[in-house]
Amino acid sequence: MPRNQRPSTVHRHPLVAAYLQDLDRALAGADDGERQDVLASVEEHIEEAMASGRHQDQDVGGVLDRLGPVERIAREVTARGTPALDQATEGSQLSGYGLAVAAGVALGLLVFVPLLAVPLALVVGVLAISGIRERRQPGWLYWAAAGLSVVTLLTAVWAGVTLVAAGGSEPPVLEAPVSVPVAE
Amino acid sequence: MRCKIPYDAVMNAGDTMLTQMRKGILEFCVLAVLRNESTYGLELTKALTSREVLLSTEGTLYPLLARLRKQGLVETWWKESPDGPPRRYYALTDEGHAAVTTFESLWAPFRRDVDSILGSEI
Repeated sequence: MPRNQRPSTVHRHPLVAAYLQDLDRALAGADDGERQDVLASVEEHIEEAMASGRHQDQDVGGVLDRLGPVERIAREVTARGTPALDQATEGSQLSGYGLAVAAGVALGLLVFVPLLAVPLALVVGVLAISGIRERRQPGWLYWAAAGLSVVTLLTAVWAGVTLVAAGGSEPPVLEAPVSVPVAE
Repeated sequence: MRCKIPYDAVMNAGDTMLTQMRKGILEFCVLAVLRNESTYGLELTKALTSREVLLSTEGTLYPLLARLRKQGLVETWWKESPDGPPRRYYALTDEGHAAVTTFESLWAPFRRDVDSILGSEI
């Protein structure tokens, strides 16, 4: 395939690079020739769509949305879209709701159990961002989960800084015993 | 105007049904588009998405094209583009032409039968 030698500029766009990377990963189970074929032609589609400037295609997000979730493309390669696999889409939607709820729980927990809230918000945030990258739907749920996690983490950082600052005026109870052995 | 079946809605019965119905039909629609004119991926997706229900997510066309090529119904080559890098063009092979012709000959009675059943004509 001379395809690989074609000069490419779209890779520089992080969304496109992430989409192609996710597609590559989703096609892991596919026949190698088919996988290369699909990856190359999807990449070419994106390049063309963005270069053509017609039908408002310059918008990267729009181009990728019309291509659809990478799982859908991969499913077409590996299983030709059996009904059983169609239900996997519902699963991902449930996980969108689940993530959004977990993000809310993390924010609520922050007041009572901050040690639990921070790791939970971290995990939810990472999962939500990977959901956004994979263009899972409904996207707003993943954005909401990511936003709530960021709020939780920022609040935790702010609370931590405030506590440390407030504690700074008092005698450093914890630091004293630690600094003594270091000094010796 | 393109009309997109929203995949982001919960996969309802209608969507699942549509997915099932496209199977075995969409590939012949692709072959039929290519029978008129060999073209490149983006134009092909436009030809299909400009219809109402044939293709909801453009990306799924490419696995289908890869499969048609593997089956020897479609062939590809590179063609210079007036603006930008060369394009991968898709065209029907002789086997591809034969496949559309067969599909076409079966489609008319198939559609008639379904219509007649739906219209309760006995």
